[in-house]
Amino acid sequence: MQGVRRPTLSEARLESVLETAPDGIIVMDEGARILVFNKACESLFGYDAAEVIGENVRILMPQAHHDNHDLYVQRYRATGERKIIGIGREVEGRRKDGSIFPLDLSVGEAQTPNGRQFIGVIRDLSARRETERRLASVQADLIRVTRVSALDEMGSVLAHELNQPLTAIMLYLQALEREVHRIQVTHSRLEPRTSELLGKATREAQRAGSIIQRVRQLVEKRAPERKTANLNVVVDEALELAMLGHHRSVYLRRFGPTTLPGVLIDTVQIQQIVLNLTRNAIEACQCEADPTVTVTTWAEGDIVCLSVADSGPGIPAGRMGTLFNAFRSEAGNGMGIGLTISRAIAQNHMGELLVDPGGDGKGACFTVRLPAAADTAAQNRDSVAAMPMAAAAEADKS
Amino acid sequence: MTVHIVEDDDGVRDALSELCRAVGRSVQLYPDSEAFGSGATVEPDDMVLVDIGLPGEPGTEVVRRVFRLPVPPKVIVISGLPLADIHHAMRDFSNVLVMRKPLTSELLALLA
Ligand SMILES: Nc1ncnc2c1ncn2[C@@H]1O[C@H](COP(=O)(O)OP(=O)(O)OP(=O)(O)O)[C@@H](O)[C@H]1O
Ligand SMILES: [Mg+2]
Repeated sequence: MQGVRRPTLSEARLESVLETAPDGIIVMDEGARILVFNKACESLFGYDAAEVIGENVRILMPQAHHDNHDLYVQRYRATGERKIIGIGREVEGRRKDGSIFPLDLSVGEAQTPNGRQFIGVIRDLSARRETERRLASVQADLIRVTRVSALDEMGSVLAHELNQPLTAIMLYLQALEREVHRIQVTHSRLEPRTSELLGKATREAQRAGSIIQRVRQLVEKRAPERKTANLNVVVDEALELAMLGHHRSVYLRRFGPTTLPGVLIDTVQIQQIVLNLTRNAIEACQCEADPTVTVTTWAEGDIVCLSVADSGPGIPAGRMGTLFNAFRSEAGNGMGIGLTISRAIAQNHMGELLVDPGGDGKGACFTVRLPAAADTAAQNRDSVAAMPMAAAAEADKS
Repeated sequence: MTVHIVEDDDGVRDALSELCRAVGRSVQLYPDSEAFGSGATVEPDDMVLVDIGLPGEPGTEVVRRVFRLPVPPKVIVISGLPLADIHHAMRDFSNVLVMRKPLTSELLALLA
């Protein structure tokens, strides 16, 4: 019984701790030789313990770090200068197959009867790195989606919002011209000043009109990219963006059938609607108890629908009249253009954006309704593109 | 002859009605397609001016309704939408006159 000593109780306990520990644990001696390599290490590095015990710990590091590590160990032994011991840091590990992965390493030191030993505890960071990478790419998407379409939509919303009053002005001027003409005829009195001023006003209105025309042409050059898409997928992607930074503070519920009819849409634009509605919903309810945003998709015959509801206070009756008018925001930091853009996009897709204001303990609910894609939609579009509008105008005039 | 105006923008609707009256037409005004559907009595020699982008039912529903009449009157569609969207919206109608906002004196010529 001399050589085969039974493990003592504390050794047995240490053994079981090592084997069941979720983190990788490595023990090495002063010469950087591996003494202990636990189960978690085996799956982290892909080596069996038997393969690495007695080896220099360098085999677990990328080539580039080998020299550094030797240096650290030497210097520490000589001067006691600590690069890692008792500190912990992020380093790179090298698996048996040669792949490199990020890990968090903390190193402790122990005096044993067999000399100084170092204990390294290792946590795999690849999963966290992957999450961070994904987050960064989602964030980049968010910036792209909001920038690109903010510019586009700003342009078209501005053009549209200005175009309406300008249309009215030009019609009023034409009516006024007729009126002046009538007075001149019936009272056989010339109104040269009035006519002159009217003419000037008309010319200026036309000038504004041609500026709007130019903005519109710029926006139209970027032809809308309409593709048949699955609204569920489009919505889920946008929700991921919208919920960034709100996962903890707001509860998101998502309902929808597994299959939906396709919709012929510009994906980025529809995602813009989802983003706008969800952000508004979060803003509306985040100060309430149990803030909840519920996003539902469903089909109603030939219409594919999407609703965003929240547990906020709803929209006051007095607010409803101007809700979709641009630049009337009361939210303070918003521009008040989100809903205007959203409705414009929905209408440009031959759909609509409806609102149930809620109130009395119910939050607001916004619903987007889009026509399901017909198989023939693309062909129809081409044949209509040939429709000569000016020619039609000529024909009707005669 | 009455001009039926279906337009949701208050300013544009009022301006259209003023211009129509200035050239001696009587007008009927509707803020949306549904109001037109439930309230309009349209004679064959009337004229219907309709905006495509309306809240609720799109303006094309008005066109559809008018075309279902035994003798449909003249319909003019007005719109501030981008051209591609106008084409898309009007794909089922081949012979409807479309005018883009802002409206020029073309409209006046049609009313006179
Ligand atoms: N879910 C909602 N509950 C209550 N009020 C809402 C809701 N959604 C929108 N509103 C009200 O409608 C207004 C207009 O919304 P809109 O999205 O157009 O602009 P905004 O959110 O203020 O600014 P932004 O241009 O940044 O979107 C908001 O300021 C808010 O007062
Ligand atoms: Mg908003």
